[in-house]
Amino acid sequence: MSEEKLTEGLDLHHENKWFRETKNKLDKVGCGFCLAKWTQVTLQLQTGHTHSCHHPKTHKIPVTEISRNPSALHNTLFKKRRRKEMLEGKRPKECDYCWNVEDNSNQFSDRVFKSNESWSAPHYEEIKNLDWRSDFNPRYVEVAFSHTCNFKCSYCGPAYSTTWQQEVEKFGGYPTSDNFNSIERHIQEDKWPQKQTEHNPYVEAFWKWWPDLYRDLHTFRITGGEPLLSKDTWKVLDYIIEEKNPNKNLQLAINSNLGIDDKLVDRFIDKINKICDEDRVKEFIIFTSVDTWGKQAEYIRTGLEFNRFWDNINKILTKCPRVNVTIMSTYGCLSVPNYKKLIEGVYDLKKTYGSRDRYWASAVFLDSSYLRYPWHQSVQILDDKWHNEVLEQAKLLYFMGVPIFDHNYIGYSDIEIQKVKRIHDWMTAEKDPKHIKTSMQNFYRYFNAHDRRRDTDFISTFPELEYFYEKCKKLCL
Amino acid sequence: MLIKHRQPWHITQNRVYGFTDVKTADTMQNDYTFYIDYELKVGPPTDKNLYSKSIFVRPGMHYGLIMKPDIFKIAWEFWTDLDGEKKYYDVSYEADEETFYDNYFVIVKHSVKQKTFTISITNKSIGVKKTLVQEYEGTLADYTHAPFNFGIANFDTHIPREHMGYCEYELHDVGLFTQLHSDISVLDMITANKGCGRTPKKMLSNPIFVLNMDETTLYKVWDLSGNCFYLDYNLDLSKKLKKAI
Repeated sequence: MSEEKLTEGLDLHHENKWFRETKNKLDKVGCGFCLAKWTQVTLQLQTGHTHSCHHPKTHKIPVTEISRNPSALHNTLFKKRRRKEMLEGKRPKECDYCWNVEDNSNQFSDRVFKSNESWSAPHYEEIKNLDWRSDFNPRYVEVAFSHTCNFKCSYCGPAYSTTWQQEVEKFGGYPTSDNFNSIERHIQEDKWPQKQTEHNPYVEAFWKWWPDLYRDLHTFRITGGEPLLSKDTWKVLDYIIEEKNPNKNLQLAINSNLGIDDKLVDRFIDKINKICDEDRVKEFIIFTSVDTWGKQAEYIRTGLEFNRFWDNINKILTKCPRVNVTIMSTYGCLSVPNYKKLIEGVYDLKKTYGSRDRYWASAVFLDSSYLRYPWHQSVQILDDKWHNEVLEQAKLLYFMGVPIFDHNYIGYSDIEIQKVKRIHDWMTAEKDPKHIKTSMQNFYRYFNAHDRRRDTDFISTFPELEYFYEKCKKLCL
Repeated sequence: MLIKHRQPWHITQNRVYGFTDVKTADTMQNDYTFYIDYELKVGPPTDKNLYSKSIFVRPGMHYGLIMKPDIFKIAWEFWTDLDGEKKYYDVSYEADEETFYDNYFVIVKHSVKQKTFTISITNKSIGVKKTLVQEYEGTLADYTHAPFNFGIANFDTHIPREHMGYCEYELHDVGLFTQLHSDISVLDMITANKGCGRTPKKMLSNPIFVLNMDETTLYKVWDLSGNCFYLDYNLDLSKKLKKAI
């Protein structure tokens, strides 16, 4: 064969150029500028709390503000002040999750991912020129109408779960140094949820705002509690089914733990198919949660029956040929030993149900976010021997990744891979030894009490972590 | 694993996500051991079967294993720089019409110090082994920017068909190490790792990629070496080949 010039250029410095461009645009306004502060909102109507983006802590919505203006569910004075900081080139302290990622790795932070989303990016010009005092209708709205929930996940609490509420009313908070999930702490932070029977001014304000909000929405997501146990969720579904002029650009998402009664699952499937068959929304996504595989997942999420949960995912994907399912994983220290099984299980679902009839051909997505609070359940408290396991999990995702990020390919996307790699980077970042010691002590105190209260057995469920449990126990002596 | 006609695979050199610091690009400039176990398929009748077939090639000035059906030769080709001039080498094993499409196992070793390529070719179908040694002058041409191609050499619309080298073959095993290893140690490792799943039971030192044909997705083959370099289905090139040819 003869000499030929090289024909295939190689990008030896691979980087996602769209994320880079977005970061550059944001940084032009300010190093702390993030569109999500305007475009995204989570509303916890059971407690009257809100935040824009999941990372900052929530803050209380003043009832006086919503009585004048129901959009103050999102446009609170507190949030407007953070927007002012962003527009003036400052980094709001409450957004330190992203500053941590940006300062400790060369990964893009969620500030970039969220500002690059289709519900954010088109509004860049409008937002950067907006007065900080102005109201802005969010495009991505998450709402929890109620905290009624049949689960009590180990990292959750009474603000989001009635079963958690019942447990702490009976036993009090956990005997950790921060008295995890104590009633007193919730009352102090004004997060003790209202009873469903009480009049809720936040829910009332929501329904006043809804007709105006619905028209502007890009994505609407109902969280909880368990949303399928709330009458307001069914009211939203019926509103969309009955609306004469539906917002067909809407991406509708409903969270569910998929551990509810079979009749409710079937009723849900029926509503989904009515909405999808009549093209009343652009996309229907079901968000569900699991943090690892099998018995270990059941331990983390009290109330979960893993096999029934997995059957329900299969049932929905079989009966609803146009929906996508996103599995949200709150990746904590108990996720590590068996997360590979979850990665493989989700990949099998992607292969089985991948179809071009769905908005995304990959029917299922695995969204892995690291657990930050409570610290005693975070991956940072584990010893170094687990670092490589998380890295191997990221490699496994990469192996099962799509060759090109596109609607048509089946496999793990760039973001699904990056998020697990990010967990590894965060896990290996420098830590405060005192803080780790306290968290390890809390780990033992928490799970020891957990086993007594809930009749569980940590050591037989997590034999891989028995040595760690004993190590934490010794620190308490 | 079947490398299909006009659907080549490749190993990319991108080190995305920071999984490893190991660089693949310059690994075949220095001492290395490369092995491949494969079985060429007779091309479809529509194809011109007498054109060369690229089993594993780093494109440009071709560097790699090429099957030549017109003369029934199996060749390891490479180029060197000698006083500013390019010099072409072709280390050939002569098969014949009956044995050309047999199952071959090839081990290539490059010694920078001795300026030699040692190529042992075993016809597994009939159990015959031959070792060829080729000394060269000058320095090996720079292939640092060339990808690792399987089932194709070059592609561009202006390149004549006979230089593209696309082909179909069964790939049984392949690996690359940046160290000289004996033939017996390579064979021992392959035997030890049969059916091992994702974790190898035995691994020789300094692996770059050791591909595990038992573990595949639609687009990739698992790398046992742990470097996270994968044999990827080359989607872009396959699309271009479909359109252009």
